[in-house]
Amino acid sequence: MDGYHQQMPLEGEVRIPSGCAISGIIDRSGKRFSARDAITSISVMHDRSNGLGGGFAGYGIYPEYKDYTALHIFYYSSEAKRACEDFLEEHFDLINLSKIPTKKHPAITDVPLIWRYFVTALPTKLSFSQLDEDEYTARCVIRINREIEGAYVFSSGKDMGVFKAVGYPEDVGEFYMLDEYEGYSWTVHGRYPTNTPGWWGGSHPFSLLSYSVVHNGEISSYDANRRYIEMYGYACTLQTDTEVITYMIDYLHRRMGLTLEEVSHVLAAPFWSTIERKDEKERAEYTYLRNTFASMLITGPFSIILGFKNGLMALNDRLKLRSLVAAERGSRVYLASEEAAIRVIEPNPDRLWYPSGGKAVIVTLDSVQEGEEHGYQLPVSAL
Amino acid sequence: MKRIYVNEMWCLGCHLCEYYCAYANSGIKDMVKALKDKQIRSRITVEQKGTISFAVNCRHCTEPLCVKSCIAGAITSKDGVIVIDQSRCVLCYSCIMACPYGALMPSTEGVMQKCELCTTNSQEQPACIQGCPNKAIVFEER
Amino acid sequence: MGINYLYPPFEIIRNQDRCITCRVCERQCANLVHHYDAEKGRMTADESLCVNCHRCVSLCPTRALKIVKTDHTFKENANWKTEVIEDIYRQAQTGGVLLASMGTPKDYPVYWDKILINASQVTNPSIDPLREPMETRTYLGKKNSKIERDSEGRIITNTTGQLKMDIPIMFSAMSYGSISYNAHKSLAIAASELGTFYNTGEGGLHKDFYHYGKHTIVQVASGRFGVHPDYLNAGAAIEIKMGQGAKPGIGGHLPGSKIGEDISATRMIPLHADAISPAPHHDIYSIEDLRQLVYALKEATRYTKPIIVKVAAVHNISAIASGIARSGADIIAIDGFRGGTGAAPLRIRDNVGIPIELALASVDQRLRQEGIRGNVSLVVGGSIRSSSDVIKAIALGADAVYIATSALVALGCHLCRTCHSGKCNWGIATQNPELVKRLNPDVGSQHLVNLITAWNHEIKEMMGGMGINSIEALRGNRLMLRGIGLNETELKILGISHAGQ
Repeated sequence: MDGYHQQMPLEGEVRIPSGCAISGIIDRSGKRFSARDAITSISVMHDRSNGLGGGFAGYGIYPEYKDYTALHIFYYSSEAKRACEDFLEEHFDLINLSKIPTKKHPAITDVPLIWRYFVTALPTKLSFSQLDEDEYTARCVIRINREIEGAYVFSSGKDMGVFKAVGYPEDVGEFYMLDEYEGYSWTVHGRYPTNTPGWWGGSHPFSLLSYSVVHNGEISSYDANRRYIEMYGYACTLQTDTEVITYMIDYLHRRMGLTLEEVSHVLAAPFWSTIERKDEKERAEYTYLRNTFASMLITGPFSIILGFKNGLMALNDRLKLRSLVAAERGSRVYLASEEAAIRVIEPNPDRLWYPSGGKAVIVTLDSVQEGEEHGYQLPVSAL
Repeated sequence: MKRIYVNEMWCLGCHLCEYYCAYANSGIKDMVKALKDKQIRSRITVEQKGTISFAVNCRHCTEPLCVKSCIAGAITSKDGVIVIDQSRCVLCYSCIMACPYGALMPSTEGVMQKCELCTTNSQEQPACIQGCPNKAIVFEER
Repeated sequence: MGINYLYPPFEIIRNQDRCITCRVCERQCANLVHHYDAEKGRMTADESLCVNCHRCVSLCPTRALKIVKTDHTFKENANWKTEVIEDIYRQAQTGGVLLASMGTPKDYPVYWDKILINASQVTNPSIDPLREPMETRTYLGKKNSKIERDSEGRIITNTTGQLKMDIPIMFSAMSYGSISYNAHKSLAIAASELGTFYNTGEGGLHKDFYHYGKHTIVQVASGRFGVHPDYLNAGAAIEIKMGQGAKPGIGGHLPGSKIGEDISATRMIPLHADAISPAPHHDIYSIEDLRQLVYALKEATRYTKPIIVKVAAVHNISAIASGIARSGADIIAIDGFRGGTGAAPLRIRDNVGIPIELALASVDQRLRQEGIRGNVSLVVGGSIRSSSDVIKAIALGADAVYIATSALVALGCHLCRTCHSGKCNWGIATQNPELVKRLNPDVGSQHLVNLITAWNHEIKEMMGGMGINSIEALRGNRLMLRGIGLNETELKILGISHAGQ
């Protein structure tokens, strides 16, 4: 990364606010499709970005390797690659590794080395650590990003992958040749930061394990959220809203075992006056969640699309200070910052609506049972 | 009808009510000019013994003895407020003897005066209420 | 008599052209400063008795009085200042420990005044508190770290031991004995109306105030005055007083002359016996002993009430706080060195302890580093003087603040700092019934309610400006603060950047 260090501080050394565009598509039947629609959708919102960041997350794109973790890594030097691969070999079984295929594109410059590894945790190391596989992988990824200079893991999920760069998202889509991938859901993001980060890792989506978040907004609670979530082993190295939101979702959903709806009751908790009007049991639950996880409440405008295994969730802040539109037709559900971005790929949706502030829109594949949306078993007593 | 009531628990015996009353009824805007080096005749009086004190003023009785006693017919009840028409007062002092509260007294001009709940001067609210530093004096209906 | 080294520090300037000789100054001065000279027909004043409490000034109907600092001087000396010299005279004359009241007036840095607050613009909208909900509700207490579910998969909402308040401001501990019955009554009424809490201090809870129990925090201090099971169960929370910001390391002292019937009954001590609180709790000589007391109190109250541990801000406050957070306490209250007191040795009040801003910042940071910030809530006090101080405290990491001096000022205190004489002209720091009368709780409580309500509106305005509509999103949000005129070390301890960065 040193070779790319500019006079201005990089993402992570300073906090860079930005405005953006987001879009997401999922096919509930599980039928897989290419990212072309996502590219078309985001290109309509071209003016919401300024060419300084774009990225995609695709789910269901590695069916042959679906039980292995796919690590996507940026390297800014060959030393970094060597150091990182040494680390990977000590901690994982490497099933397959290759450069991620890309196509030269005039608008995408300063390209680092981009590699992909399909891995699984080394059994001896895993049992020695007394962690489950997800926690083990997450900790390794955070360690690489914090300690190995010049290496950055930007995707670490199973049967999913993030593809991002500095550039307009439609160009990034061409660069990664995303027409050639097929997934059951895609999210895409275009960025409008107020400085020039020049650093590919700073683009969105931000991802940890199989969670990916694209986000439009600027949260005023950032430092309160960051200083709380960092207590649990996360390191907010990029200093972006998306990073801290992703970590909080990982903590609440994976480690605390909350359902996604309960997660939305923490991140976008209703106002006390709204909670007071609910019935007794609901009131107690909402109050309990809001009080227990008080420092994870997000204030300030945000609209996020969370990608997770088997589904998508869209969520707005309580005052709905950023736009978010949803639509569906047949088995396809669309989420985007603008209606135009949906209509350009689906001119006649069966239903189109503007989700209320603070109300999550959760879409899962039809094949998935309720409660298994994250593949994480609820405690035995709940079954 | 609202009357002036004094809560003896909060009266500090500071006598400020007397001075504010005298000032309010002086007709002079500048307080120093109204009160300095002048004899103060206030329509509310602080009664004090040892550590107990409270201010006493006209009770605006529903059956006012002073009205009955006035031989000149100068004292009348206007909507419950007992007022004196000073132009009619003949200084017989009958009202002073009749009032069980000692609420009437000669003014500095000689003719009688008494608390008229600041209805006849330029105050919006009785001056003693505003002047009491400890809210011992209240203006309310009971 | 004879030779007098101590010239009165104040002079009473009376504008004789304005004085109407109403004698209210004479009637109301507990120090017997003013006299009416019948022969001359004028008021006179003896400045040697004046303590600058402004009682006479505030009551004078023609504003004829003012108190000024005397211009009688020593030769200018930056080292041997007047107070320094005069303190030596006093000690040479009396041989005694110098006593002082209220918080230290010395010229140490006030960090609140060197911190600036952010506002949102362009990239992030500010929020209008008059038109949008702006929430300042706070819950104090331990936050659960595990989610438990019942047989239907619904979350079990086990939240005993939380203090709920609509505004993150509480009234700090002031004992019945150091302040008057009417002052306590004003605090209790105001706390109830505001939906917050007041603190009994170490003097126990007067039986007349038990019905305000839901809004009372009962204190267990080293002297254990007034501590019995009914007392513990009467309040909404129990506070163990380990220390006080104004006098870290020492206990309290209420002279026997102040121990009348009422105080004797409330504190459970003999009439006119000196009430001395020992320096340490004699059953807490180490951190594990504290844990023992915390659980003893929890047992006595059947685990229904949160336990607060109050400590003074001293040098190793972070380590102390970390220990307390692991001892089972639900809330830690930290009192900075600017905190007030009814009476304390002057040298301790002026030289012992550290500023609350620095203590708060380092405790909050240390607890997060150790991953235990969720185990406790943090309450800070020690000179919170305005709503902007409250905002800054919360942004540095506090859950709520304690105010005491501000509350007393709202009740009429003029910070003359002579509480230890027991002749408070405002009826606050006295037990003399004639003086206590001067504080009408109807008036006093209304002033307190007004003050906190006004601060709450200001807090909402500032929160709205920052684009925050719920106070929990401000907690620990250090990026909302910038320092100005602070050096690198100070910025590092506070965990904030300098303005412009």
